[in-house]
Amino acid sequence: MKRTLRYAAKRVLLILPQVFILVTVVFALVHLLPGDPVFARMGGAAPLELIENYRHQLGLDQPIYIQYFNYLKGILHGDLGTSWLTGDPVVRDLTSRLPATLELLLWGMGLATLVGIGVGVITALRPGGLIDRVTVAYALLAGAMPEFYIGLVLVFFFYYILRIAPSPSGRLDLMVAPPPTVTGLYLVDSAVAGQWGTFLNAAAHLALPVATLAFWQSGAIMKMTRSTMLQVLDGDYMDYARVMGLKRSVVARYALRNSLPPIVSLTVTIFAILLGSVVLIERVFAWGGLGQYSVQAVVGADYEAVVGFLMLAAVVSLLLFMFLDIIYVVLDPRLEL
Amino acid sequence: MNSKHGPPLVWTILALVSIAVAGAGCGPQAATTAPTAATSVPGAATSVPAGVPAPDTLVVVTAALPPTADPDVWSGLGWERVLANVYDPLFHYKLRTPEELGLTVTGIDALSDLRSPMDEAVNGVFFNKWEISPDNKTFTLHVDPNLKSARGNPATADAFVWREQRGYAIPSSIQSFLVGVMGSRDVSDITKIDDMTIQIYAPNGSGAILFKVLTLIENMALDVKALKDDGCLTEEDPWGMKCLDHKSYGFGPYNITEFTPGNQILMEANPYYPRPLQFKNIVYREIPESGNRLAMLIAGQAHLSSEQTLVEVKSVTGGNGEATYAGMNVGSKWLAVLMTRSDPAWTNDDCVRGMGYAIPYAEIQEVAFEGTGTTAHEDVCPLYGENVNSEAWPYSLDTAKASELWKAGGCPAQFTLSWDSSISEMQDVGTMIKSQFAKFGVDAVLNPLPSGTYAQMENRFTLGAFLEEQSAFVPDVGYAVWLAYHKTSIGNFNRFMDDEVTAKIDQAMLLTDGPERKRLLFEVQQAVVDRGGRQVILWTPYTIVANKHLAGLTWYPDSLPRYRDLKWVP
Repeated sequence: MKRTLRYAAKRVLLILPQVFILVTVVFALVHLLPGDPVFARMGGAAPLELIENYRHQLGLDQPIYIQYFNYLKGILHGDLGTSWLTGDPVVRDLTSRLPATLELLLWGMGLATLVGIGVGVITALRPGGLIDRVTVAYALLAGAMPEFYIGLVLVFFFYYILRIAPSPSGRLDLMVAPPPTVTGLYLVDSAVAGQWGTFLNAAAHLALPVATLAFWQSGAIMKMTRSTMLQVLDGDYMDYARVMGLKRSVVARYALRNSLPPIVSLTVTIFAILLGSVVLIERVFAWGGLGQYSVQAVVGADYEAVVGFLMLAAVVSLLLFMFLDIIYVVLDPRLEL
Repeated sequence: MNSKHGPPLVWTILALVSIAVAGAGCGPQAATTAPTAATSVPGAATSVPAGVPAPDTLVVVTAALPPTADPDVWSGLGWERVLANVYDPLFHYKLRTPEELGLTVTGIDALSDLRSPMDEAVNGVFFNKWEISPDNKTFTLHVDPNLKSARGNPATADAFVWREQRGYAIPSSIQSFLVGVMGSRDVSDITKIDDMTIQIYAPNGSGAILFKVLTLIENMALDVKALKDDGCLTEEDPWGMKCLDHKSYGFGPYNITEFTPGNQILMEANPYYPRPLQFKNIVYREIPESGNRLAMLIAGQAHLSSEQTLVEVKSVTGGNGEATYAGMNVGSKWLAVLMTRSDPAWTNDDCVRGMGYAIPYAEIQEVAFEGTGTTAHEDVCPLYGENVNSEAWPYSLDTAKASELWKAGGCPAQFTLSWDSSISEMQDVGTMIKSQFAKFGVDAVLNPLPSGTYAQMENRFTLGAFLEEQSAFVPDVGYAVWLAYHKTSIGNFNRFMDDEVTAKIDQAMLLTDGPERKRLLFEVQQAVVDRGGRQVILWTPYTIVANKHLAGLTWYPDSLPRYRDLKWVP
């Protein structure tokens, strides 16, 4: 345990220089983006004085190295600047939108993992069967289709044609107020507040985006589970277990336990990548999360929002990978931190 | 994963999710059977069926919310849509029926009267009485004593004067109108006579133009008393930038109660507004996908959108579910090719004329605009009254003539045609123009640009030839030619620097409408159609997708729908 904590502390400390390098690189890249953000906001017909005033307000009239140092100084004080698209501090923008993305990711990846592992195990135990053949085709399809297309198709069928899904208008219906904020996750907060109508409304709105995410990502998890399980089931110790008369379910459990490290590795990696890649799902469902925010920031050349978002994504990813390394050791006691 | 202990976990979870979806009853089918009360208070969801907009709440869907509601920080069309419904300008055009104006429209019940003489064409909104000096340069305006803001504060001269001072101080686009168009030198040309009277001195303008300028949505009064009461005006922020960013302080029909950037804006009716308003609440919601917006409109869960593609608009023409199309085939917005006359490629008049004969007008209308809109036969919006000169227009697609002019002018064998890449139709338009030039051996290099780059190059007049969609918001022929062709106009992106034309525009701007003004404006249009460097291709259509129960849709020259005019017909 002590070793684990020491390892975790070392990794957390390593995050600082990694994020510093990332911020520097991203700051430089963002300022190399074509187009002047002031003109993008003001339009070509704005008076020059207005343009220069606004450029001065944003600090963009300073030399680039001054802008960089001012930005670093701000970060040290917990200030990631102000988004000129929303007019709010970037920190506030990110923290207000993070729960929306997290809720989508947690449920989506949760479902993807359950379905992926569950079906992967079934197909590994019955290779060549009907379920195996269907899921191979499904995994290929899910990996080949872009996620926004899956989302739009689901909206088309379940909302527009069948009329059983709610409108793709965000996390709640237009007339429903959000529950009092505890975590920012609407299912949790509405349950805590006892607002069961809001709970059901939020759950209904989660259904299609979660299904989109799960459909999109479960294929990869399914394939990894299947191939890893098949390899493990082929092992000598599995033959021994069968020969010793262990029940099929016990053998399967042993095989799954030994297959987990690469599956968990893949799942956590997908989760880390999805923080920034869920943008198109958020856009289709008007989710109002970090993905949508980051796209608006990039399109609008909102420098501080872009760098702020990338910093957050980097920190979360690095923490997740640290968590993954620790979990790996828990799952496979042969390894050491 | 044998089933010894019951169904596998995954099926159980899927079953629970299905029950949640069905139990929430949030589909459109449920929405149409159970009207709900409009509310945004916590706990409401427990007492009413969700997902059904109530008749007293209008739901408007948009592709993107504006970043701000500050009337002095221009932020695009989305910003204008919000401003147009939260604030009132100082004057409104009177509305007439399409029949009275002799126009063919669909689902639009009334349009701004642009054809009557000025004193018959407007209603005072903030000002209810006015006098104009004999020399047409000084306007004395009296504030309507019955007008109140959403906070119950009466309208005063201070509300207008302070707002103008703010516009000059920041400075905002309002300044460019009053300085550029009317020649107002600075804000001291706007003076407060007493608590309810102001005076504007406009050395370069006439009464007709000023009133038209003051119908623009950017010209509104602000409730400075409420700003002071809320502590918005501080030493660090004397103009209330922070407060006005996401709130409204006006005398208009609606007041912003909540502004969540990237999500929605909630508006409530001004309880003191002098006209009855059908909708007490407005939900202005960001739905990025246009297909989803359309689906919500068809399902009846949204009531209005001005941002559907022309293909989508076609799909609801005549009705589709709860949605229908409303609009007109000619609006005030033009699609044009501009040629920067200071660019070496476009200094020769023959090259500019050659462009006019190389554009496939009808094909562009058919392909890029789904057969909607009206191909151009004039340089100024045909709705802008009797001063529009259609006789001056010689152009049609004639590549032989274009080639002849191109050779005669020694025009380049290659030129760049740029546009703002965020406007989807432009790719088709550019491609079709390129194809025509290719017929006589000229290479038009297509150059889509990011919005910021496009705007920057446009401002610095370095675009060469470029496609533009714009409109002259002041619905006056004199203003329209001033904007595009006056030497000092910031909107003269084609850099047409003709002293004679500028002088005629200046003369025309001093006159009220009449034969002399008409003569001058006709001559100006003759000159600019020939060599102005702006080739209008199409007057693009004004389209709205609206709920079939909505009546009272109106058209104003800024092509922004006004929710205050709407009625609900069960």
